[in-house]
Amino acid sequence: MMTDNFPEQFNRHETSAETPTEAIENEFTLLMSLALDDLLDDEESARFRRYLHVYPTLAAEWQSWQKLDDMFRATPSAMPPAGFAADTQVRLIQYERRRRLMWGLGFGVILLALWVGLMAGAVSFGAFVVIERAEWLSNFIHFSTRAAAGIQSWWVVTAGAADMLLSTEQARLFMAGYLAAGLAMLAGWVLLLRRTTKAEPVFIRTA
Amino acid sequence: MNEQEERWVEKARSGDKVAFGHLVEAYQRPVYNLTYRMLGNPEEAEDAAQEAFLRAYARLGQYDPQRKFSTWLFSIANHHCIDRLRKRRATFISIDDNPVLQNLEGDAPRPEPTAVTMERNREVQMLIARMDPDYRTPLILRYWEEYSYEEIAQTMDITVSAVKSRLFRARKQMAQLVNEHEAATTPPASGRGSQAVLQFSRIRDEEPRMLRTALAGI
Repeated sequence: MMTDNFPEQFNRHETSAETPTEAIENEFTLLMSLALDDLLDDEESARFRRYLHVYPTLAAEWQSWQKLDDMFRATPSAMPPAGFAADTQVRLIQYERRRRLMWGLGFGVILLALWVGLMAGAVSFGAFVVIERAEWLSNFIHFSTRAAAGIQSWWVVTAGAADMLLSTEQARLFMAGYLAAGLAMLAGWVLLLRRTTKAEPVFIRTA
Repeated sequence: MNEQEERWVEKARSGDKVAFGHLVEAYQRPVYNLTYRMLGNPEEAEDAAQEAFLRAYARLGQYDPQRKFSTWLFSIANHHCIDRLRKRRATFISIDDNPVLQNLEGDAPRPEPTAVTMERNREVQMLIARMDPDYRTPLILRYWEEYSYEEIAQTMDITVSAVKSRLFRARKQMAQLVNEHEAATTPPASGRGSQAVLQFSRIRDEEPRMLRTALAGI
């Protein structure tokens, strides 16, 4: 009954007794599982058949496994309740809404935190300046006020002078002459630039 | 995955809810079957299946189109079920009040086959409920989705040899459960093995109707 393909240990197991050893039982169980899925190779298949032939207890076990397997294969798939897909769509819409709401809330919280941070920073800076640098602040305010008043006065005086000048005939003629001279100088400069940037012809000597 | 499904997935990834709705319709049966077989409670299974679809929608950006969509979806559903089983506290589920038995797939007008099918479903569900959760998934995918070992491995994120091992252990555990029923309720003179499955139905009817599913594998 034994073949040379089998390791010595299996030969020993099979010839030693009518009842299989624990090692053989374990191996047989694994082979049964593979056999149910049609995954036994030739050697395993031969060994499996041999065990079935030699050990009646294993053959009985194989029958019970086959019946269990048949029972599972004959059991139909569980069907979802009616309206499952529609309910899932409703949940999906709710989920999307919730997700958008969470994003909005998160964004709002971040904005609020930033605003509060900025405000706190500004207030802290103001408090620091008022408390620690009162003199510097006073000077700064005085300087800023004076500077603003000075700039304003300068602007009023300059604008008034320009207005007054432009209202006289001589000033207008002078401005027109000035503009014409300026334009003529600019045109002359452009012409000069164009002449000087013209490429000179290149002569190639031939042998 | 056929071309139509590929288009739906592509559209769903760009935020098209209608396209995702088509995917829900296409996969509602297998996803629900997985969650129901894993959790054993129709209401919880429905909630878990819907949650799995929502999670899939939220993670569509992470989906690799090279991968089979169904294995990716089952993977999400399976992880969600395992999370629920871990969190679940001991709850009692009435087998008699199980509405899923009214919704079994197939032709159902004749009363006799329906009763047989319901009985078989009940027995199978009892066996699964008493198994370790890690062993339930490969069995469900193998028997109801006819997944190959490679596909089961992809879904569960384990190796093919681990799938082989888990299926083997699952079947062994199943056979042991049947034998335990037999040993607990039949006279000592009766045989073991092949008669166990036949006796399982009779024995089960004598048991209390409330099944403490949470005890299984938690």
